[in-house]
Amino acid sequence: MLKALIITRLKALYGSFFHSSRFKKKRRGSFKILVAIFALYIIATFFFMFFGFFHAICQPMVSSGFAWLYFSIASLTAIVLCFIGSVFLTKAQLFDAQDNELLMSMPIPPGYILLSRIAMLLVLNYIFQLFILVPAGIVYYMNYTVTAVGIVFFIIEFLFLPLIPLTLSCIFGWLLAVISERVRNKSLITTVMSLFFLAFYFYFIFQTNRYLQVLIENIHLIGSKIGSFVFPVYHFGLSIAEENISSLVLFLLSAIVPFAIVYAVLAHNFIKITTTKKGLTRIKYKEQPLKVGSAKSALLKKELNRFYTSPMYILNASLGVVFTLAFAVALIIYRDLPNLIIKDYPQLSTYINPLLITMICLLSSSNIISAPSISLEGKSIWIVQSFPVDGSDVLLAKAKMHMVICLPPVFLASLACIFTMKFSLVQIFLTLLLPALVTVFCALFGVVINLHFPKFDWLNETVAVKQSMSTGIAMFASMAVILLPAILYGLLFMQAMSVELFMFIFAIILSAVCLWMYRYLKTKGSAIFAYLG
Amino acid sequence: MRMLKIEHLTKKYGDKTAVDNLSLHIKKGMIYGFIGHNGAGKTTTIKSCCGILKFDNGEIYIDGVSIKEDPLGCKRKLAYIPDNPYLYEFLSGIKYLNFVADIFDVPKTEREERIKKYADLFELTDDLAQPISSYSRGMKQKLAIISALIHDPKLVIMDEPFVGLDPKATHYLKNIMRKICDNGGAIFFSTHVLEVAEKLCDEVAIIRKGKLVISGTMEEVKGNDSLEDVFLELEGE
Ligand SMILES: Nc1ncnc2c1ncn2[C@@H]1O[C@H](COP(=O)(O)OP(=O)(O)OP(=O)(O)O)[C@@H](O)[C@H]1O
Ligand SMILES: [Mg+2]
Repeated sequence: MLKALIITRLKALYGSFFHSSRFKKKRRGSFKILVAIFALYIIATFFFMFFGFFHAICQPMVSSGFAWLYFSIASLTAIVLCFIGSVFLTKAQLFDAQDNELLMSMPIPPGYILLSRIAMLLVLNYIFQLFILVPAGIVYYMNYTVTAVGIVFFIIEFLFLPLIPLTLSCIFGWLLAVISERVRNKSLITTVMSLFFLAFYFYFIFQTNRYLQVLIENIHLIGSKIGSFVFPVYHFGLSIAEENISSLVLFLLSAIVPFAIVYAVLAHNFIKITTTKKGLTRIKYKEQPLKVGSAKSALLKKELNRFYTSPMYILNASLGVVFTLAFAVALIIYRDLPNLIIKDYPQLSTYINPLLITMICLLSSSNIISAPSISLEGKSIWIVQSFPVDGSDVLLAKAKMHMVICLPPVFLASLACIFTMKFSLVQIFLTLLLPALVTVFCALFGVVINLHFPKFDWLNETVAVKQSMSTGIAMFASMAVILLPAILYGLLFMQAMSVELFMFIFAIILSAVCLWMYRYLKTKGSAIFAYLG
Repeated sequence: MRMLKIEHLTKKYGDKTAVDNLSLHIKKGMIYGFIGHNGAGKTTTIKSCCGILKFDNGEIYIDGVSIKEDPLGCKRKLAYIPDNPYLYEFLSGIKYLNFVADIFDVPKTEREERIKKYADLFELTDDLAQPISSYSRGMKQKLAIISALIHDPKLVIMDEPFVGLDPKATHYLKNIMRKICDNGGAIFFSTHVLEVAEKLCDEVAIIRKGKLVISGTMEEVKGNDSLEDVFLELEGE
């Protein structure tokens, strides 16, 4: 029984990445290859990123006798990444999964349900961890000799390390669940809390980057700090670097014991946690005059309502908005920075302004609001389908929602550029045009891609937003749309034309593509949508 | 004059024929019951009539207009209540009703009047400010019904509308169905509750494995027996 539960979970995890309900039966070989290439690309990117990181710190650390610190930092990075990657999913999986009640009513011990879900989260953590510990291990292996005992130690600790982030995310997810159960303005509180959490995370990342040098220079000091403060991480490093059995035992204990305690407490309270619905005081409806609007504006309002009432959607799909605003503020605060850069690298002076424009484009393209918007209709898709509205109006409302949310910050950032930097007239024109155009592109592209990779069989919205083909493709494609032309210019067209002219041509091509997508949604897209689901 | 005309409707899912060459005529002023075992093809037929399922063969006319040729025109005249009331959980009841009214372009005073009338009738008025996610199944069903009535449809197509409704709401819904027909509209609905069908319907059709078994006025179909006896006999063959 437990095996069946666990297998269902893992299948769901696998399915959420690689299946869309529409293509479930007749998946073609070429498509599978595309998915494989895409997955490989992501894996390679992360892999090499961390490979570079560990390559930079390996030799300085090990050669000054701090091999253990090298592994400690690797494990710390793994813990942080796993935690960030799984905390919201943990909350969704453990505390508000819709099939909890169904499973609970069956003759299955609650501990099994919990265990099957934790097993799935554990697998997810192993996947995250692969990206960090494997490069770290390889870098070390390439530079220094490794013994068989060391490898065994490494593997054992690899297997147990995820228990630490899992313990943390269980606790944090539980806190989130308890808080959001008791508060009326749930969506606001969760959004604020998560943003706060995220800000802290980025602060942490920026700090480590800035102090990478300091880290290497002050290994002794930091080493002693880690040794005394981050107990499990310290022993993780020590046991591998010095093949120290007692450290290994201490590490294993410090990973297993807290996890066992948290698991025991959770299993004991699982029924209570997932079945108490505190409920909120009822608001009684008082009759008010109703606002009348057109069908199109009603569709847009509906989409916006869905967006604003879901903190999960806001946080996962519109971080670019926060970054774009942060970028605008940073431009105003550090307005001298570009000049300083030009002073040191005068050859960059012609490119600094176009680079700023590209930056805004890139930030805006990280919003994927429209990409899960069709999937989010879920089982209620019959509503718009049975209504006398053209499918294209529904689809365009989704694209419009994306634009309504993303365009204002983009224009703010563009204006910040124009007012703080010295822009030529052509550049001003491009600043106002190009980022807005990219935003429109992302909005339309998200809808088009979701139309072809919809996912309606989710139990939790998180799955539609975070783990679906559609959002994955949208995220990488919209980034590629900016990075590829930039690379193309650097490699091929730099001599042939000015960057402004190149950007202008790019804008024309992009407009043509947008126009094509608009026409597509109006005609073929509308027909596809009518019978979707 | 026919309000809904289904001609030789055929729908396949892969190799499986869910609805096989089905023809039904629903006249204006009629409450038309649609009966069949689980998996007989009722929901499939109903979804095809509402323009949310593509069918392989045949034609469907709403008030004389083909749903294939003018889907929007047809949808404007009909209202659909599905078997499961999956609504927009993130909206409040009143926001949902106003959304539907906006879509059907219902004038302000009329929408306010109708919402008040039906929400009071179904005792849902106090809950309209609550998000739909906090509604019970029956409350969601009531809201789906109210939203279907908001644009004063000529044809109401319902898939097992009485499931989950309390006796009082069931009673009011029957009255409303009769009233729509008295005003020249028509009702086409599926049900498993044969007693209700027997009392309520003017005409009835029974299907089995996607094929029409019998159709006609209630008297023609059941004669002197009860509808239940007729149904069981037909199923037994
Ligand atoms: N999406 C689908 N894919 C494949 N087969 C389907 C699908 N939907 C329905 N079917 C099949 O079509 C047939 C008719 O189903 P339908 O839902 O119309 O039955 P029904 O009469 O509404 O049954 P019930 O009384 O249980 O609601 C069934 O055999 C069912 O298995
Ligand atoms: Mg059915």
